[in-house]
Amino acid sequence: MTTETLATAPRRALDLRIIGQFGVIAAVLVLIGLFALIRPDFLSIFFNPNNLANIGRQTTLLAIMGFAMTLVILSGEIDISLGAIASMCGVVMALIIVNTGSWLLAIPVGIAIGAALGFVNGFITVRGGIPSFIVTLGTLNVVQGLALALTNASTITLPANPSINQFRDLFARGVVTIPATEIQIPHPVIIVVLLLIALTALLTRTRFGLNIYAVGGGAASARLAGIAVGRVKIAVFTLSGAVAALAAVVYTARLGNGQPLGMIGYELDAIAAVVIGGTSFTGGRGAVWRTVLGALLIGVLNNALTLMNVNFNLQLVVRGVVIVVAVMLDAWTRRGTKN
Amino acid sequence: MTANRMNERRISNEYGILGAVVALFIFFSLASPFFFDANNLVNLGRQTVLLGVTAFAMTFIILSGEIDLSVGSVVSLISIIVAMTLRDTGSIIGALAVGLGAGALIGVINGLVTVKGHVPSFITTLGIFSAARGISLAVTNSVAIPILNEDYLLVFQDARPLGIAVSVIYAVVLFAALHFVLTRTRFGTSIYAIGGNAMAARLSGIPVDRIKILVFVLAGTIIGFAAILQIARIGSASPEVARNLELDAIAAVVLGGTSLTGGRGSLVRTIFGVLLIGILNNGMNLLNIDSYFQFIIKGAIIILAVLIDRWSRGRGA
Amino acid sequence: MSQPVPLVRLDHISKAFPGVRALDDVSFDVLPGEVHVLMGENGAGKSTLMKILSGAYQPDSGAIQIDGYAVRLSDPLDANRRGIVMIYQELTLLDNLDVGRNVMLGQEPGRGGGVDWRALYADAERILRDLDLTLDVRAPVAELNMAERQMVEIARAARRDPRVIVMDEPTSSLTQSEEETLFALIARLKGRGVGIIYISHRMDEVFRLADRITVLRDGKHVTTLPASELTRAELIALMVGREVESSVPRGVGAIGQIVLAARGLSAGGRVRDVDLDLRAGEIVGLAGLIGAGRTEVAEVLFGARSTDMGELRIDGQPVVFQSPYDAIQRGIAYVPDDRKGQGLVLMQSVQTNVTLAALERFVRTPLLMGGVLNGRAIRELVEVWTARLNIRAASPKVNVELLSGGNQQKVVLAKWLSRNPRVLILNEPTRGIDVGAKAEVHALIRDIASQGVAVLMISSELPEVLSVSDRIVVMAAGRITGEMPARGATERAVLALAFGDTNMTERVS
Repeated sequence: MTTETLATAPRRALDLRIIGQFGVIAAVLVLIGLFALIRPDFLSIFFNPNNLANIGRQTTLLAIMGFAMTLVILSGEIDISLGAIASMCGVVMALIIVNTGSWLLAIPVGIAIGAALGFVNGFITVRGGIPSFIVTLGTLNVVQGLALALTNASTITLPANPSINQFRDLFARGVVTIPATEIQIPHPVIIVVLLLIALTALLTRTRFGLNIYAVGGGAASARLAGIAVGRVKIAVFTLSGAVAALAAVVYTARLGNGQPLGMIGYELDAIAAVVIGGTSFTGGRGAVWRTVLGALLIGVLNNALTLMNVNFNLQLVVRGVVIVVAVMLDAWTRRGTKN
Repeated sequence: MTANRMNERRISNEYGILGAVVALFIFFSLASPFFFDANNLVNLGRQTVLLGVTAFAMTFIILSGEIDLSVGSVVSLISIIVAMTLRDTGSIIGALAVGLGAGALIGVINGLVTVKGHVPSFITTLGIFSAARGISLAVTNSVAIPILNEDYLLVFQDARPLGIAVSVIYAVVLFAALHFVLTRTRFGTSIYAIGGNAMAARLSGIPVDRIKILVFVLAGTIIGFAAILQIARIGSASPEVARNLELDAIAAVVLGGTSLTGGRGSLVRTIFGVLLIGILNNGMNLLNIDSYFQFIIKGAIIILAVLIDRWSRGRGA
Repeated sequence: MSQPVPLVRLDHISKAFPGVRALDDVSFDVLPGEVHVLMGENGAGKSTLMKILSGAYQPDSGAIQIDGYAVRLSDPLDANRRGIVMIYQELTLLDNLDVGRNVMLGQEPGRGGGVDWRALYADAERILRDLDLTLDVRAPVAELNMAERQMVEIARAARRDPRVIVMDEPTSSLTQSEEETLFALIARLKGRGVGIIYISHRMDEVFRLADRITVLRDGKHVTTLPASELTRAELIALMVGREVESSVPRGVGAIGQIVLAARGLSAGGRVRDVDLDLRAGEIVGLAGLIGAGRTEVAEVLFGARSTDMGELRIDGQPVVFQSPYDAIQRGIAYVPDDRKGQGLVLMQSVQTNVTLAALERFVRTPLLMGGVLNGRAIRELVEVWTARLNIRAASPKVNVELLSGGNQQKVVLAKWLSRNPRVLILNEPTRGIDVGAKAEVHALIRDIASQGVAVLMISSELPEVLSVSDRIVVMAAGRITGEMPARGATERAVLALAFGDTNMTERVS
C-alpha cells in the first residue's frame, strides 16, 4: 500500500456500513412483505405471540452458541469444535443427572468441562503455534469420539421426576408472562438477554475485553504494547467453551436427554449468525449484540419459511444464500473506502 | 541464512510426514496380519481415492490462497445428480458429462461470488455447503439412489487392469496431469504467485481474478469426478455420503505441509497427507478399533503431525 | 566537567550468525537529551545492533548498561519496560481502534479488571497536547494518513516515559512539512531528556538533527564523532570505505519521439487534468509532496487505476488499459514503491520473480492452462540478468525474502528490464537502499534511458531528482504545477512548485 493513496471520505465509510447492515434486515423485511402478499393471513400468524415466542425459543440456542463463537472470532481465531464441545457437555450433564439425580451438580460440572475443553483448544493453538482452524479440527474429532465412547453412541434420557421437571422448566420450557398482557417470554430468551448484558459488559468495560479487541485487531502490535496475547487468547477459548456449555444446558433441558452428537453442526450456524450480524470475520471488529441480530435474522427467516410450508431442507439453501449475500453486502460497502 | 539451511529445512519437512506414513505402515503391518496383504492394499487404494482426488482439488484452492468448505456436500449433490442421470438415461457418457459439468458449474459459482463478489471463500463455500446439503436432502427426501448400471460399475470401480484397481489408476493419472500443470505451466506458476502475493502478481500482469476463478472451476470439475468414482464404489448416491469430507481433505492437505495461507506446497505433499489418513483409517478398521476411538486417534494425529512439523520447522525460524 | 551517565550503553558487543559475523566488538551509547544518528550501509550491522538493544537478540559477548547499571534484556517486552522503545518503519498501530486507545494501548487506566474510559481519553489528550499534536482522540486510526499515524506511534512511545527512543527511517514516508512536525517533536523529546537513536540515509536531516554520529561498516565500529566535526563527503567515505561518485554525471543522450502521451487525465480527485509526455531516451523526474498524486498518475499510466477523464496515446494511437496486463503488453513497466508488498512474491525464488511478468514468453507449447514453460530458457534469462544487474544471491532458487533491500530492488528491475519495455515507470527506486547500491541504481537508470527507454522516475529525494533527471515535472494536489529542465534547476524552485506557491521563503536544503 503506497503512502500516497490515502483514505478519504471517512464519513461515507460509516454510512455505507450501516446501509449494508440494514440491507440484510431490509431483505428479510421485503421477504416477509412478499409472504404477506402471497398469503393474506401470514402477518397475523407470524406476529401471533405464540409464534414470536417460538421464534425466540428456536433462536436462543443459536444465539448462545453464536455468543461463544463471537468471542473467538473477535480475538482473531476460529473454533469449529464448539458443537462437539457442547454435545460433550450435554451428555456429561445428562449422565450426572441420571446417576446422581442432581442437576444442581450437573450444571457447574458441565460448564467446567466446557471451559476445560476450550482451554485445551486455546493452549494448543497458542503454545503450539498452530492455526486454530487445524487445532479445533483435531479436537472436534477427539471430543466427538470421547462423547460417543462415553455414551456408547446412545442417548441418555433424563428421568421424569419433579426435580428434573423443575430443571427443564427453569432452563427451557418455562415462560414469564408480562402482567396485563398476553406476551410470554420463554426462559431461554431471558438467559440470552442476561448473557448478552454480561458479555457486553465484559467486552466494553473490562481490560480483558479491551485486550480481546486489541489482539483481534493485530496480535503482533498488541504484543509489542505489552498485552499478554497468548493469555488473552487462551482465556477467550476457555470462556467460549463455557458459554457453549451453557447452550448445552438449554439444549439438554429442552430435549430431556443427552445426545453425543446432538449439537454437531451448530458451530457452522453460529459462524453464520456472527457473520450475518456484521462482526468482522478477520477479528477486532464487532459486538455481541450483532450476533443476536444475526441469530434473529436467521430465526425469523426459518420461521417465515416454515409458516409458508417451504420444504425444511430448502431452508438450508436459504441460509446458505443469506450468509453469502450478507457478507457480500458488507464487503461491497467496505470496498468503497479502502485504499 | 544460507541456501543450504533452507534446503535442509525443506528436506526435513517432506521427510517428516513421509516418515510418519512409513512408520504407520510398518506399525500396522506388524500389528495386524491382514494389513500387508494384496487384497487389503488394493482396498486401501480404493478407499483412499475419494479423499485423494478431493484433496488434489483442495490443494489447488489452498495454494491460490483460498479455501473450500463445501466439497463434502457438493460431492453428495453431484453424486445424486449423476445417479439420477444414470438411472434415467442409462448413458455412462451422459452421466460423466453431467457430473463434470455440474462440478464445473459449482466451481464457477464459487469463483464468481468469491472473486467478483469480494466474499471471503470461507464464507462463500460455507454458504454453498449449506445450500448443497439442503438441495440434496430435498431432492432425494433422504432416500439413497442405488446404482444398478453394471457397465458403469465396471468402468469406474470393478475393473482391475493388471491387477490394479481402476479407480486408483484414474487417481494416479489425474495426479500426474495435475502435477504437471502445477509445476510446469504458466497457470501453475501463476497460482503460486497469486497465493504468495496477489497484489504483486497483479502488478506483474497476471490476470489474478481470471486465474482464481479458473482454479475454482478446475477444482469443481475434479470434485465432480470424485463423485463419479465414489458412487461406483459405494453403489449408491445419498445425501449422507461424504460428511466431513471437507475437513478430511483440508487435514490431508495441511498434514502434507501445504501452507493454509497459500503460495507454498505441492501435490506430492498432499499425497503424503492423504496416505497418512488413509492408512490410519484402514489400519484402525483392521485392528477392530472402535469407531469412537478412530475419531479420537484421527484428531490426535492431526494435531500431533502439525505440531511435529511446526517443531521441526520452528528451529531458527 | 563530569560526563553524564549514558542512558544506554552497549559495550563491546559481538554477534555472529551461521556464516556471517554481524557485529564485531561494537560499542555505542546514548546520552540524555541527545540525538545520536547511526549510519552505515545495509548489512553494516545497524539493525542487528538495534535488535540487541531492543531485546530481540542476545549478544554473543559484551554487556548492556542502562543508567550505568548492567542489565540483561530478555525480550522486547523487557526492554520496553526498561524504557527502550523502538519505532519501526512498519508502524504497529491497530486499525480497528481509535487514536486514544492506540496511544494508551496496554496501559489503560482503571481499577481491578475494569477500564476507566473517561480517564483513558483524558490521558490520551493530555499526552498529545504535551507533544503539541492536534489529533482527535476518538478518530479511527484507519482514517489517518501516514504522518498522523507516525505521530500516534510516537505519542504512544512517549507515554511510557522512555529513556531511549529508536527511530528507523522515520521520514521515508513524510512530506517536508510533516518532517518539520517530527523534528519539532524530537526537539521536545530532547528537552525532556529522552535519548534518541536515529537511523537514516538522508544527509540533510542527519546533519540537521544529529548531536553525534556513529558509523558502522561491515559489523565494525568505524567512528563516533560530534556531527560538527564531520562533513558529508567524509561521512560517505567512512560508510563505504571507498570512493563513491556523489552524483551521476549527466550524459547528453539522444532524446527521441514521444512514446507515451497523456492528456487531461483525471482520476477521482487524486489526479486532476494531468498532461504528460514521455520521450524515448528521456528521464522525467516527477517531484512533489506526498499526496500530490504522483503514484496515482503512475498507476493510471500502468493500467492499475481507472480514470474519469482523459486519454492515453502510445506512438500517437489512443489506447485504453483495463488492467496492468494491457499496459504491459504495450511495453509499459512499473516498479512500485512498496517492493515487498507490491513488487515481489517474497516466498518465491529469484528465478520466479524475475520471470513473473513475462511468463508467456517462455511458453514452449501453447497447450491448455496457458502453456508449458521452457525451464532452460528461464534459467538462461535469469543468469543473464543476474550478471548484468549484479544481483547478489546464493542461487537463483533462493527465496527473495532472504535478499537485502538493494538486491531485492534489482530483482524487481530485472523482472521489468527483461521485457525490454518502452516505458519504465519507477516509484521511489532507491528508497531504503544504502548509498553504494543507490549509486548503482542511478547508473542503471541512466544506462536504460540511453538505450531509448522512456523513463518516468517518481522520487521524494530532491537531490536524486535533480541529479538523475533530464526534465523535472512537479505536481501538487493532483495537478501539474510546473516543468523545467533539470540542468540549472534548484531544489528551492522545485520545492516551491511542490507547494504550489512561487513565493516560498528559502528553505534549508
